[in-house]
Amino acid sequence: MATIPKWPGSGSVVSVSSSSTPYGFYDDDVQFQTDAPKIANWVARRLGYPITDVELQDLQIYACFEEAITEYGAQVHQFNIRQNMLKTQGSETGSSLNGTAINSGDIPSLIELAGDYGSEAGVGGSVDYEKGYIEVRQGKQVYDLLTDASSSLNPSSSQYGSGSASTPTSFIKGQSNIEIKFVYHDDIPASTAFYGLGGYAGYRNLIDDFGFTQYGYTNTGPGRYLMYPMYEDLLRMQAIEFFQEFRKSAYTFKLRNNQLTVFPVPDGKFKIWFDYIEKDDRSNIKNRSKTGVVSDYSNVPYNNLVYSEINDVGKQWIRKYTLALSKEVLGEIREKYSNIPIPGDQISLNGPSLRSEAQTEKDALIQQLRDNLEQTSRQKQVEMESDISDKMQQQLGRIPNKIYIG
Amino acid sequence: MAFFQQRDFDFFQSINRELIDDFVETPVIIYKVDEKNTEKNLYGESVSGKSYQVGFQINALIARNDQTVEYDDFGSNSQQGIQFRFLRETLSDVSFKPWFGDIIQFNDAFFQIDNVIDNQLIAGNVDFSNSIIVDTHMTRRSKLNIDKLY
Repeated sequence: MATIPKWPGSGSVVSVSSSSTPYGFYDDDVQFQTDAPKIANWVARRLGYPITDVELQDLQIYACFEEAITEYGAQVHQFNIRQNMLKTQGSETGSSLNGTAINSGDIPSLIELAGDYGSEAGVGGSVDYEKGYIEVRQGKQVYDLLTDASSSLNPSSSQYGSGSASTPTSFIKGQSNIEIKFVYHDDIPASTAFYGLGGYAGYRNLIDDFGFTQYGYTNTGPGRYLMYPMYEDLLRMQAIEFFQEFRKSAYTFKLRNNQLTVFPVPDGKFKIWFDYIEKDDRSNIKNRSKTGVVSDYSNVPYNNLVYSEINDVGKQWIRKYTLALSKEVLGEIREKYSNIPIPGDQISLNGPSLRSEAQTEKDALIQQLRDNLEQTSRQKQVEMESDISDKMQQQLGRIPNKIYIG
Repeated sequence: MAFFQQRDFDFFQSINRELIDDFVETPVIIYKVDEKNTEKNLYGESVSGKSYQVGFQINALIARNDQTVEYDDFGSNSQQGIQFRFLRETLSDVSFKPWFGDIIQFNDAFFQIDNVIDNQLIAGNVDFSNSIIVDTHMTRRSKLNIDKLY
């Protein structure tokens, strides 16, 4: 008698050495070893055994079982990755995030993302701000950044030529594009003028003048100040800066292409400083990237689930999905030939309907799982809590207030 | 490698066995001519009727014509033609191949084999012969030396 490729009535023992499943993801899990023959038996019975033959062998059902667990894990982890992408991006890929509750906020990654804005504003980011200067000479109004400017730093010879900090040379050789961010000269910090005439006059040593130092206030340190609101200090500093910028500075400039024109014509020798960035530095993504860390969807360290740690809710989903997959395999087997010859005639099997049913069941299970996961997202949970709170307020609002009669 | 393999043929046999033995489940009894105990004349014809071996039961698919009755000078004569279709592998299991003259008992009647068709070759391959089909006609019980043993 030929080997009959059908369900023999029970499944074989699952073990690591027996290669019971194609990938062997869960073969070493004792609970998987126990459940696999049971699920195979259940699937066979759901497909008609022992009343009808089921043209499946245990290895095929085990393969479906393994795929169902993996699919369950994939769906759960896809949700986790979507939920935690910002939180995990940039973290180490080495250790698995399975079973890890990620409760941190998104602020670290948002700050990283905002770094470019900080670079442009000159308040952070990853693009270096360099400093250069032009020696302004008496009577010379127009200066060429390509030939007249020098770097205050020590530029590399390959990029800027052979200049050095001590003997600066023209540093823009047409090999690197720069962008001027700020032009200034000999500015006096507002803080130095803070206590000057018109700045803090009238307040300094006021405590001492009133003779309060004998009560514990000192003439140096914080105790020497009267307590004024902080905004008072801030407004004062801003006023000084505006004063210096608009009233005190006698110079202004225009910058077109590489030509810096100083107004009015300088009447002496001084330095005009400028801050600049290299455009390559801004666009070079490697300045802002790390390797060996979570970069995208593909390397967030979520791995296959541990079968024995899946709860019964998940296991029931896995059973149903195993059945749907088995049904699909059985349908494919029965559909390989549209007609099966029998003595003197031919018959057709129910392969197409099995496959159709299986596809419908698979889609429904996947959709159900995704819907459930979506309902557990942080956003949904917060929305639900908010709804509950609103509804509770409405209900509490219907409770009559006590009327006090005094 | 051929598209149709032994594995496919085994699958077909599994379906056929399930269909014939578990679903249709129509048993017939086949009596093979016992050539040793049948007395033959010069031309190999039986002289005093054929002897048959002990019958054995096997399931078959059956295509029946309606019974017809002929009336002649000697009275009425009931007739019926039936085609019995056997799974070749099932016959092979019991090492039996039906042949002309063998008797098949079905529905309390006896049918003598007139023709044997062994031609259902799956994918045209002689190694994958699926069935043996026999055409029969109803024969008189009185012509046969067949009795129940117990």
